[in-house]
Amino acid sequence: MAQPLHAVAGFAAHLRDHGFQVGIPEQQAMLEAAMRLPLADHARVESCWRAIVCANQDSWRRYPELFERYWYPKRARGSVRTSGMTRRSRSLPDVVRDLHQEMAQGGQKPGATSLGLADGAAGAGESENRNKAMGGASSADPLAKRDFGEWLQSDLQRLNQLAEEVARRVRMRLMRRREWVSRSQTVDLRRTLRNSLRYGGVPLAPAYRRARRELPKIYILVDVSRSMEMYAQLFLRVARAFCEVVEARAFVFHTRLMEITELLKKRTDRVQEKINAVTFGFGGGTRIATSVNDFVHAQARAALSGRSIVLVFSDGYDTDPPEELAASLSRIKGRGARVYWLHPSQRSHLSTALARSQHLVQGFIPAHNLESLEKIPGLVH
Amino acid sequence: MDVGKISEGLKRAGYIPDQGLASALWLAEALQRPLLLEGDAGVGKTSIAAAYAKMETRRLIRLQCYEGLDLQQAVYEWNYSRQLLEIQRSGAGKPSGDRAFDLFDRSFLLERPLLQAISSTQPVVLLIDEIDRADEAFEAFLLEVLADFQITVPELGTITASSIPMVVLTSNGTRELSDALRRRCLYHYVEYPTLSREIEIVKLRLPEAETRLVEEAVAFVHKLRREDLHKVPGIAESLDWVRALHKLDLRGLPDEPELILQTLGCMLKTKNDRWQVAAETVDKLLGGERVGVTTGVAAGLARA
Repeated sequence: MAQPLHAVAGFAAHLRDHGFQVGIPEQQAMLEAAMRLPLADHARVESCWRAIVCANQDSWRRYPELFERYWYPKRARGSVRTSGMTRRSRSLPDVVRDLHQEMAQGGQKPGATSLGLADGAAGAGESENRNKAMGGASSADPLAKRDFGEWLQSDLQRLNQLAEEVARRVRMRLMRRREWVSRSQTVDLRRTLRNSLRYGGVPLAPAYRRARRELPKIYILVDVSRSMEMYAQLFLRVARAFCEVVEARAFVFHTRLMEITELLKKRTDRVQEKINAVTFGFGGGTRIATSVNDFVHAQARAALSGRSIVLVFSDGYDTDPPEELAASLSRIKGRGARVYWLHPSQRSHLSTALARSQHLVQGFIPAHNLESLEKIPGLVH
Repeated sequence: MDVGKISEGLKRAGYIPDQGLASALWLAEALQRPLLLEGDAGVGKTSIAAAYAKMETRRLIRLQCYEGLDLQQAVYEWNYSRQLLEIQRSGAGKPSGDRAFDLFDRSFLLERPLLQAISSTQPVVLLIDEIDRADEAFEAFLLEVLADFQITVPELGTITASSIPMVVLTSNGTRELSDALRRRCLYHYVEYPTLSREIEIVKLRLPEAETRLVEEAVAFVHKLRREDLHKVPGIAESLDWVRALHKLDLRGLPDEPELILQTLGCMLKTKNDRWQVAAETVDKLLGGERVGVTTGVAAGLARA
């Protein structure tokens, strides 16, 4: 009984470790889908589970690789094997077959399996996965040995103040659209007339409208390559402050780009572990242009507009051809957004890539320590 | 109904799905969960709901979302003018019929799309189009509808669905949707179709067009999508363009770029895009594999 449940719970834990939000309801739905599919159709389990566990484009794209890595580890190239660990073999067709057999024998409804899953199986899956993550995160993680615990409370408050100050500087912008309010100067005639219907045509409940104000959307891209090792910790702290205070979205990049907004918002000790997990597998040089490109086309997509500010924390050393960074940045500028480049040195050492795209960056801001960061609000406007 | 039959049924209804989409639709029906479709504009998200409704011969109820959409337009509204008339009639000593006079009777309720879908006795397909354009407050209201298929009208009580509708939500990603909404839905990301599938789609919709014309035109559109365009042409644009070329009595793509440039208005909808795709670009796209297709930028564009 427990084995197929353990396997599904283990897969759910594997997905959770990679930033997916897979809780008990999702696992129940996964089991139900597997049971409802005809046995001969077990190959469709992958696409059915994909519809259940994915919540956005990013997770949609990453799912096939994670599925393959979990259920067919032998097919995955370059995977890290953990020594000394023994584990029951996983076979998806077997799991689906076992579930069908259990349903046939026990006549149990799919949803009824939830308690066993919540209490025992999920825990077992997590412990199995935790061991695996420990084996994998050791060698390739650029942020390893970073201790987030050494920060003083006063430092953290300074970062939050910094984010608030930046938010104040960039100000609430007037929108073309208007919003309904209870009191304002402008009467909304259409809505007032509509409201008056219930009072027999007497306008007893006037409605008003006011111009809407919204904070600019702030996006933060943090370079976590080897060359930025010393500063990544500081920048991630800044990113967290922005995420919490002004609802910014934060991304890390090295050879590819990944969103970490939700991970940063969870103020637990496991944030570092999670960041390790999402940056695991990064290697080789920094591909800034490709990452920025991915940001524009996949992550920010239609949300990038004239009300957006993009803060890039990077030294600008790019292994993509130098002209490509300019092309990528011009796409951001093309959407009307402003780019500020925060470099971890007192003076901006322009790499070839950055020198070619200088005209596309609104401002270069030194950000080598906490003190220099305090100048940011004065420079962003 | 199994996945294969859904696939076949959608084809008959004029939509050619990939395996993932057919599975997602099957699952949404089996688990009675809403299906959230995301993808670029023009990839055919809305058509999926229409084709599904046609396949199942169900009524399609569409709610087009926009900023400022409120409950009165989406769920229900009391028919105030009828209520006033009723009050006047009762004041004149002429109560309508024998029944007790109640201003908040169901007969005074104007049902808007969401309530129509919930109160329908026959199963329907409810399409909530471009949910990202609606306000967050409306999105929060939807949670009750999507999770429990019920709507609460304060004056009447809770109305629960007599037959569970198939709910399809679409989003273009102009705003991040809340986690709460996402978790109540199954998810499918609709990509641009592969070359062969798009050729199949265009042939299905325009059977009168020459096969060579369809193949060449769709291949051209695929190359054009790799260009750095502000508004990438979708399937609807491909169909429009092939239709235009067919009206010009062409049996294949012409060699000279001028004729293509004249008709590119079917696909390029912004001034910048129009300016960017000049005669040389068309020539290059007609000429075969685009230069530099394997470099970082182009590869990134293809992925996007």
